[in-house]
Amino acid sequence: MKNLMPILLVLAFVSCQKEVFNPQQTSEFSIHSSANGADYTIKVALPQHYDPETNQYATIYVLDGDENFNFVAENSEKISTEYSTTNVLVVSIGYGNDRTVDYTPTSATEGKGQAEKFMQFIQDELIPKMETDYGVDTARESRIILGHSFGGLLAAYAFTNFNTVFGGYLMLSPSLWYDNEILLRYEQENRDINNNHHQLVYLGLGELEKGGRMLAPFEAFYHRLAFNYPGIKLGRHLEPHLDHVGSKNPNILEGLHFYFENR
Amino acid sequence: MKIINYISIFFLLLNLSAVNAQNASSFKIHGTYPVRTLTLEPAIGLNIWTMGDLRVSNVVQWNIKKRLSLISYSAYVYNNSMSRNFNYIRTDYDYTLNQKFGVGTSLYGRHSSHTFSLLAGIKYDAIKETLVNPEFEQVTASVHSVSPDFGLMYNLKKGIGKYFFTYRMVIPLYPYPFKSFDITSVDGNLANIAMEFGVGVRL
Repeated sequence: MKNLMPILLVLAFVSCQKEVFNPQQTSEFSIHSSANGADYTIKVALPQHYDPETNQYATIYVLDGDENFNFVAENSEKISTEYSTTNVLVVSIGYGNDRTVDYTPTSATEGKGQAEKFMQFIQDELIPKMETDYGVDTARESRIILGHSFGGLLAAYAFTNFNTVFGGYLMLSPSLWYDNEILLRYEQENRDINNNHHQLVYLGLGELEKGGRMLAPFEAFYHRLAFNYPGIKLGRHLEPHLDHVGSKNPNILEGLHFYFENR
Repeated sequence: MKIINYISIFFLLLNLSAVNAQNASSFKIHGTYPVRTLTLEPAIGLNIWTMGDLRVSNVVQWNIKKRLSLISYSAYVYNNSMSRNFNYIRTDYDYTLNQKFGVGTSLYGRHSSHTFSLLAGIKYDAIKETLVNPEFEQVTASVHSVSPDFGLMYNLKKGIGKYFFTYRMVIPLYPYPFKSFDITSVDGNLANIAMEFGVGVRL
């Protein structure tokens, strides 16, 4: 055991090293939201040879950006190269409020329910700034939102209640159990408006997400999208042998592959 | 930060085992602790990270030499015992079966022995949930998964009679690092760290 410890420590140290996306392709700014009064740090990963004069770039808005930005930016570049297609701008939204405030649609035991204001911030303040300052594509189909867990819940909420904002949704382990599956009610209420739009939706989960809450609402949401949205490009994946946190990065990779293959 | 906390706790637990080993190695071997060919050690316990996963397990240890054992570890885990009806999501079943085999080495004290073993085998997980919210359609979903399973086990035997007290801790080495070298996957290891207590019998 004593001999094993240094090896394990080295392995853990090496695997703890965070990939950092090329700083020369990264820009950062702060933005004060008049919708909810919070200040957000936004990081933007630019594609190689970024030239807004000649290219219309799509954008992936990444929730829990402080944790996910580098991984998404690195892999977005790799996967777009693999598919020989233009890369996107990866827009990381840092924490202005706690995620249980910004990412939850209603006030319940687990969250404060300020998602509507957060979505207004994205729609009315962040996206216009990206369009003005970075010259990104203004078409709905060129905007994608990516979130995990409560971030996945917010992505699902964007789908049901702010469907004109994004054309693509990468929902990873979405907390659809939240507030007695309130998202299923929103989906039902807004279905007739939303199912006329073209959508690209990737739903990912860890195969071994336990806790008695993830699997059944995930399947219910997936079936509703599959049977009620004729214009949808829908992907579903259960990451083998992994749980809620462990499946996040593999599902980001699957989701990015799905997006670049089907956009 | 959460990941760093997980890692810290993971290695704290590994270190606790290492400390036990160091203490044990300082014991003098008086030759009084009975080393029998075969022991059976049924036990009950829980997964310490989740607390709601209850375990029934059995170890069969065959001491082929004083310091070398072959070990079979079997377990049934009743997962998520505390929250089987949450927000109109009913857990129909959620359990895990483990079967691992491995080799171990033992250190002996006057009244106890400490066995450290490396195990490998398979794990079967079965989960079935049903959405029973009266507002929506009923949807049932299930997962049946077979995966490899690796782990370290520390096993304390206390008592020199035919029957003895047994305590063990099992630390999984799957999914991290065998399936994935991504440190976030260590969450799956932590969720299955087990502590078990029971009464063993020497045959």
